[in-house]
Amino acid sequence: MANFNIDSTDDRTYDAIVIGSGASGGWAAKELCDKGLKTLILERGRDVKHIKDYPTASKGPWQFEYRGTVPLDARKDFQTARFVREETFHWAIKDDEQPFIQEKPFRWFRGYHVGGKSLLWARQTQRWSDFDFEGPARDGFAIDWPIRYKDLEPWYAHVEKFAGIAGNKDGLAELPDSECVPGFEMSCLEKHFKESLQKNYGDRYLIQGRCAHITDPQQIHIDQGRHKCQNQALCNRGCVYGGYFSSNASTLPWAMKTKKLTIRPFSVVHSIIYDEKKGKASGVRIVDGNTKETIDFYAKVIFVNASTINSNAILLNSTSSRFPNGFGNDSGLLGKYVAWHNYRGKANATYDGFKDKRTDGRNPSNAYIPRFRNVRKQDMNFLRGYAIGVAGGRGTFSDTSMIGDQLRDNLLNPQLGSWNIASWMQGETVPLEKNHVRLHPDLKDKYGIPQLIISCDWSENDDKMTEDYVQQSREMFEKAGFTNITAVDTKTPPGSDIHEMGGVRMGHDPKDSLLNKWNQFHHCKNVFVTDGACMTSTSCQNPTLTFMAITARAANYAVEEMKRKNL
Amino acid sequence: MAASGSLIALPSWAARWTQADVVGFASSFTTSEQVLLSSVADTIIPAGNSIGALSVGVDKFLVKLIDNCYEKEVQDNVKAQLRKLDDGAQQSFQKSFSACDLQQRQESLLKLASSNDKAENEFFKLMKSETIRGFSTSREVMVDHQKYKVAPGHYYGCVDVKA
Repeated sequence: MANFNIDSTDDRTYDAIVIGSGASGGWAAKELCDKGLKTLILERGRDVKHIKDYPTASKGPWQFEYRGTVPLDARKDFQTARFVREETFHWAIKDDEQPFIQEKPFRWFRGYHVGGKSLLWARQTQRWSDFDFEGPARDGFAIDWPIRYKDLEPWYAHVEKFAGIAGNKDGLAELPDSECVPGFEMSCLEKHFKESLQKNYGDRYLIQGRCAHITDPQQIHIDQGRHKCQNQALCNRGCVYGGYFSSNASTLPWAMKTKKLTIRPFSVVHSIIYDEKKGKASGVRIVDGNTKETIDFYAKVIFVNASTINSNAILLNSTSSRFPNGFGNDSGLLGKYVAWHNYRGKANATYDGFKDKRTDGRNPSNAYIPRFRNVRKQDMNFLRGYAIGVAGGRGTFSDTSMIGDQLRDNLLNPQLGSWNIASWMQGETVPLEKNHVRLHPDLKDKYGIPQLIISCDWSENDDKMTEDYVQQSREMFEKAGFTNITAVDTKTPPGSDIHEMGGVRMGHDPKDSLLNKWNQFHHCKNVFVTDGACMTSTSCQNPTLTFMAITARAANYAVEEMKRKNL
Repeated sequence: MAASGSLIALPSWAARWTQADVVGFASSFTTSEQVLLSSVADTIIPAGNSIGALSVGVDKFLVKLIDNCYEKEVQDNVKAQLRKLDDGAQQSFQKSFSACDLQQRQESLLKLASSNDKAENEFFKLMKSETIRGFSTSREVMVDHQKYKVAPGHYYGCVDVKA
């Protein structure tokens, strides 16, 4: 390529390149830098420096000119964007940044800035167990995972200790305990619900959700420059305390301290470069987001962590004589078997008791019922199951049905409301070949990169599972003595869960998978995919913790393989 | 009550206004429209013996908000309804809306609340909800009255309700 403004090839050569700086990319960079590799992170969005680039972090509502609403003029280029609020507008992505085609309705949330969605996530971190890893083999869907819990267990512990996970030791086989700092409190209503579940079911446990917040900073967190969570519950503005885990607060500055890391923002990855002679990848081609110039970077090993769907897009666009149908895609399955989580079911209720009690303050976490359907054996009319998020508290309200003096007095003196409890379904979806992403043959974006077509839809299994949740959440609420119960299937389109996975799945056999048990391409060992794209099945736990553990494991394996001169 | 040579009569709280106060920023609202808008906010949440919409700056918030965050059709309706409100006050009470007493102003506004005219109804709902938003999110209400702190926060799951 013609790169008139760029220095010599040497200046564009690293030991490792990581595509993406979100939760998994940050972990890849940290592990590789810790092991002494000169690492380049390519991030398509702008830079976001911890603390300095959280412009709204410490603002009260009155400090926003429009109290949250973004003026029409400012939002005219953001018609389809998320985070269009004054508090979070700095994360919103312009409509023309990456248009895509929804063959079926799909909500695609993206975080295109340094740190990616690690600044925007819900921070819930539940481990998988072998009930999850053995799911496809036991129930006969997708393909067998090439790894088991024991492969990941030390890496879960590794990332948990560093990230800081608040939670408790619950001793449940279906949700193995994490390495934790103390969990947040449960409310009296949540405790009441927990007891009712124990009494009425026996195999349904309400626990405090494990979440990536530091409730009791350990030396390793202090060394990162992070502080105790302040319970602001303003997390998605960016946290100046580093109270929750993000790449920006944690892995990236850590990797930067090794002096091995270079982060290059505004680097929109076009493709992975395959060297036909050497039979391996030689680097990554980008389009500079500002100059639109094409630039090639080189490395011995490449980690793809661009987020599930965008990693698929990059790999589909990485064609060569060896791989005419997309990178490593001899099986023809690249972009297929995309799955996600089913968050369609929601329930609400009120409770008449605990009149003399209330909750006080803001809870950055929530309670959680691990999966109880089909855990030890298949016994429902649908495959797999769902976890349930639960939040119950008592807040205040003001009657605003009038105007005048009474309205003012009501607003100045809010009243205690009744106890409310909400629950939401977090269902596993079964990966299907027809749920896929592919490149449009003609349409391109402003960087000259083919646009992506997303073609994902619910299946009958999802409908049946949602029906079960709706029925069961109602029953559990009834048994707990709750009233005014509503439980519904909201029928929201896929993607709303922001847990899309797969398309570049791991497996034993190159014939039906793309990656091996170390997340290497079967057909190109120096390229690793360790974000959600690698997932063979989805379980129902919030997936980011597992992406991070898989990444740390693969990065350390890559370093060992480089030492053995295998890469 | 005549005020500083303007054609409109200003209520007492506005008597100390200068031109700069009213048009301190570029706005599509004329001075008289801004005064009417302020009177509407003051009617929805009057200060009484405490604080109200105007003492926490809801009037300026509303002008900016409607100018910059709402489509032109909404802006036009707000202006048209302000005019109608003023005309209605002239007819019913022989004075401008802003010069009416609180009870007269509330009476005029509540007519819109129960009106079958969609435009009137929407105007009322918009004015009420945005005045409430401006008031409840003000520093005075959140910090002085409700002791809100950005940090440190806290969370206790089960505390006694204070008697």
